[in-house]
Amino acid sequence: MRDKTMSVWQAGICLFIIIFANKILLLPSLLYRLANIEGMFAYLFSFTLEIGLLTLFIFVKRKYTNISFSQLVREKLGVITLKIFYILFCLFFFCKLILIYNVTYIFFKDLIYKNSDSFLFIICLLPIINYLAYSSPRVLGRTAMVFFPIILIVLIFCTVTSLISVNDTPLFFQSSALNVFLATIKHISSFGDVIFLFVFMDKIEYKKGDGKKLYFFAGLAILFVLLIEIAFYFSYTYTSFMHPYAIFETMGNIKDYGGLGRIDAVAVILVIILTYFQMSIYLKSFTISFKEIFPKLSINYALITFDFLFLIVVYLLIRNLERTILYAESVLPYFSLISFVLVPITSVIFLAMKRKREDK
Amino acid sequence: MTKINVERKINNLKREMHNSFDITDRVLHIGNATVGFIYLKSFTDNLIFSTAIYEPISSYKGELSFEEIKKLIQANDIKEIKDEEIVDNVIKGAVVIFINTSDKILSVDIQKFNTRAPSEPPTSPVIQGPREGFTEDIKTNIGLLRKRFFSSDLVLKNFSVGRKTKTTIVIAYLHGVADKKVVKEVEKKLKAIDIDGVVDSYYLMPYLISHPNSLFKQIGNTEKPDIVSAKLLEGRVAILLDNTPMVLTVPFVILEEMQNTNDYYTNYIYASLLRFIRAIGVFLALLGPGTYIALQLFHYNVLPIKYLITIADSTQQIPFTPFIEILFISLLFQILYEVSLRLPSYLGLATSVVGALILGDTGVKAGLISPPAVIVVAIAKIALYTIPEQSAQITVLQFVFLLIGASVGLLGLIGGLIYIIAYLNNLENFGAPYLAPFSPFILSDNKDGFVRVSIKDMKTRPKSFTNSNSRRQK
Amino acid sequence: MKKLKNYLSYAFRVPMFIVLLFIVIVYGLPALGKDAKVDEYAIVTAIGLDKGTDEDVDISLLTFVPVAQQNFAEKYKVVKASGSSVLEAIDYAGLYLGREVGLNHVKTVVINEEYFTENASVEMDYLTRNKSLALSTSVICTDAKASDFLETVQKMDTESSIKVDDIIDFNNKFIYSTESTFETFYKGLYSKTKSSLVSFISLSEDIDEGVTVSASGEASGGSGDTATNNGKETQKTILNDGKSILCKAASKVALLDNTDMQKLNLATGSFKSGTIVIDDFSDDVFHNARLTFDIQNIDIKRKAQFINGHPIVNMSIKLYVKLLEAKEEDLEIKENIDIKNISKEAIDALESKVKLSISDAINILRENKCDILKVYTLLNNSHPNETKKFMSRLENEQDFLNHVVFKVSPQIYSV
Repeated sequence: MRDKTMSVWQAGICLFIIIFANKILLLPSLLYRLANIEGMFAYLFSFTLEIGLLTLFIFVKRKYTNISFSQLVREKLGVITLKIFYILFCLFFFCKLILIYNVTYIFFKDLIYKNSDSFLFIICLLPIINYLAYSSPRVLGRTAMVFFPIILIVLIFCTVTSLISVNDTPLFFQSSALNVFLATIKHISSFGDVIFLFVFMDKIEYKKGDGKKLYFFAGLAILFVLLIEIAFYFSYTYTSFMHPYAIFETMGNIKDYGGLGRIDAVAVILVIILTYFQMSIYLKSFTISFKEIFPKLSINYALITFDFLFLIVVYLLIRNLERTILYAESVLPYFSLISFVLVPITSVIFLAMKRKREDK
Repeated sequence: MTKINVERKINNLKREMHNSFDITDRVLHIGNATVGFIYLKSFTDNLIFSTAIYEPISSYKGELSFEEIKKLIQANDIKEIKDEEIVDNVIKGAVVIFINTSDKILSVDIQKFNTRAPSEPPTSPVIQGPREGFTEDIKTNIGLLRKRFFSSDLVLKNFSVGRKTKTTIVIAYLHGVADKKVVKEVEKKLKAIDIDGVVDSYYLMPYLISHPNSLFKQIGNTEKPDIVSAKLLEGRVAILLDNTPMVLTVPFVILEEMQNTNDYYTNYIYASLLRFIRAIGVFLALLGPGTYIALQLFHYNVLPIKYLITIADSTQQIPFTPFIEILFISLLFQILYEVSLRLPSYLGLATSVVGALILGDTGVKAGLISPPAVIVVAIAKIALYTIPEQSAQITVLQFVFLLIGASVGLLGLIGGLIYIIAYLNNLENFGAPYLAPFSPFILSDNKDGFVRVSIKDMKTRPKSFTNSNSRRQK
Repeated sequence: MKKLKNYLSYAFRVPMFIVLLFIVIVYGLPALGKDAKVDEYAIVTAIGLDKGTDEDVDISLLTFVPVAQQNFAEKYKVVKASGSSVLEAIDYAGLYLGREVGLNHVKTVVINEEYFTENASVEMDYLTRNKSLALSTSVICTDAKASDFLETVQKMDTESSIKVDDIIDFNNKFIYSTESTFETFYKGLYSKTKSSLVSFISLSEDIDEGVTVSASGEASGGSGDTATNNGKETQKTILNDGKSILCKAASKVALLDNTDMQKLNLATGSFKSGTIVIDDFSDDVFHNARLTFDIQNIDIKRKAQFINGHPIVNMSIKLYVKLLEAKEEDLEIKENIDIKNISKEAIDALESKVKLSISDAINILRENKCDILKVYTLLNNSHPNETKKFMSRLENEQDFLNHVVFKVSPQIYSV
């Protein structure tokens, strides 16, 4: 069951979901604080890098269709490099999980759960993401596929509602290129999620021409993210820094939608669904990486290790929004070197190398 | 030349069958020949025995031999059997004949029992379309299938199951359509069953499915021959069991529950609309009460002020907390349902009056329950029966989601939903993913999914499971 | 016992069963005794802020009171409390009510105009930071005490279908288009000239117009209706006639009446309906008539340019108008009363009127150094370098509007 692969459509849907991670809540207001409206360009730069990473993945997958990334690293670069790689992957995915959890926890606590403790969120999230991570990639992909129409419809609704309520023009040219660059670097950790495809490499059924499907999903997700950011910056202009929940607050401009009341509640449901899947995908990537480091241990050990570390970090180290932002701006950018430097370089090396017959 | 002692043989046989009162034996002496007959009078046609078997033999003038007996008998189903098969044949309604001059044994099937006529099954009523239903007699059921397939491609294989009951099972499939691997797998699983008796087709289910302890149904079942025929045409395998009108079909996908017989005997656009309504009904039934209680206990700020005012005013004097109130109403509805199933029909009116008045009116006026809670639970309970075949599962899940909604709110509800979908994605029987064609998404199969296209456009067989020939029409 | 153990071990093979059991025991059992949130929180629909004694804040909360009934009437109560800050005062209010104060359904915040004599954002800070309160909540300034205002609103809400939120919304959407929310207030505060508009609604006992609420709580419209009551009769009137206060750095610099607001809205083009009046108009048809035109649609295009370092804003305004009323003594009603084509003289008069109105509006903004028209944004976005140079040459950047030349070209079309 655990070795069953996912189709490219399902991988594309997972890619679509993961691209939204950490980008539609806190990030727009954080970027505004650093680079004003020009913070939008941070998105463009980072997404360009992500598309580049995706392209590298497609080339590598096309060349080494049935091999896993770990196998490639082991054969071409050695076992020690493999272990280092996957330790870094584990840390990267673990940090991303912590970040997603903290940001969404604060979001839910502020908006729909008053006076609720952190444990309530953990008991809701952890079992589900553990179950999805424990299941095969095929089950994860198929479950995402079932929810994809709901996610798409709600996203379209949120985006359209946000765009039609835009009634202002922001003030441009208040920030320099250096500020934009620094903002991009400080928050680069919110990007680079495409890297999960490398970890899932041998678990995706790939045929010639399937790269277009991945580009389609990535492009669609990027388009939605950019539209939401544009709607956010154009709606709030000078007060963008006061709104930490972008997708929710852009819809808040429409107060009462007929008899339905607060339609921004729809954004909350969207964030809940996305959070579950994003955390599951990261956790699955974590467990796969863990297994590469400790091949003799089963997946249960990976999950138990994660749960244990997660509880410690969430309860003892990261307890509030300020700490989360501090951690995201100071520590995480270093981990993004994995996705934007280490993996691309190794991919280029693999592409440049000659392919053995048995690798086909 | 005496080869066997007929009387002794008969006595031994009677002893073997524990001297049951309905075992009947006759001994006929004709010249040097002694002919013994043994049969069950409760299970055989005495008229045929007398006229077609006993009379011709007893009135024979000459030297009677085994071969003569075979010629004299005026019945269709005559066969020679071995010694060890005598009891089985007698039990199954045959008369066993032996003669002292030969050690060969003859069996003549004269089985007769009372069975009802094929009538409309109560579980699958139709507005338009065939109203025949299977009965408890497997031969009748086979006949109902045969008359829908005037083709030699309908293959029927039989064997028995159950050490004590030796119930007949028949596997039916279409040659050239059903996947041979599936047929072999079904056969293998059925033959591996080692049980003392099988009373109904539900006894077979756990042996056929991959997750026998799961809440969810993993085998199709129906009492209607037209439905079975349609499923055979799609490439499924049907399993008929003697003494039960319920026929099983495999492989099963959840889409089958969305499809109702009436959908195929009415306009396809209307049928598509009904399917959407069914899906909404399921959604309401599953999540309605849980969402209502979650909003009351956790997410009041999401509700607009007008709804809040209505709910707040209605729940002011209610002595129960919201969770207890909704649990109470749900349980009352469930009790009413159970009672209405088991009460005699002449008391049905009284139950409806009691239920409607006490629950709907007096309870609200007395301030024990609030109108919004009654409405929410009533809608959820009614919506349950948009797919009656899944009502058991949805009822259980309804309570589970109610518990989750009251305990942890919206996050738990959505998490629970994701878990259920992931769990269903894990289920796979006979190579068919449970949630096909939604997950994995199979476009061609969705022509008969949430929408139904015209019969003319259904040119291929479902790809949700394997079959030998995917083309139905050009 | 053994059977139970076997059964449990069988059930516990499914981890989710354990999780569900855990959730039900830890959270579900307490939920059996949990009251609905609406019983734990006081639902506040409006907040009033007044200056108390010794720098204290007096708040009044218009709170919904649930009553066991089935006729859908809404009952509200005004709860007052004082504290050294808004947060403290709200805490006290919660104490008095015996419930936590829930601000999720607040639609209006009424602030006494005394706060706008200084930086009003100081007191609004808690309300801004509190995530329960949406930043799209309306903000109103009133000349009376906010608590009196809310009490009047309470009577109006309880006894009639006239709601102050509807009055404000209608005004914002259809007439004077002053979107006055926390969001717009702060947007203005953080802009270059720190200027914002806040709706102004009067409450008085002496006004004849507006919505009057008597002591018995019966709301009546129009002027002059009174309701007798046992004892003292007090009528209060809420008058929303489109006034707004112009704020700079969150303090009031001017009170704009409805005529000023109309002129301002012509300049911004943000309203959906309105009228233009020409007095003493004469042409072939009319003689010293007062013509009122309904503005069906307005389309404004603004373009900025720099000539020799001086900013020029070209405003091209297209107005689509329809003659609504012609007041003239001895006006002969001709055969064709439905005058579709406006004469050239009328168009010229309208164009002059529009130019004059916009000019007046700009003068108001110049006097008060407020850039409600977002001229700075226009200049900066189209010519960032020149704007920077221009601003650096000024002695006082806040005066930049005085140095901007506006060229208004109205075009009138009849509908």
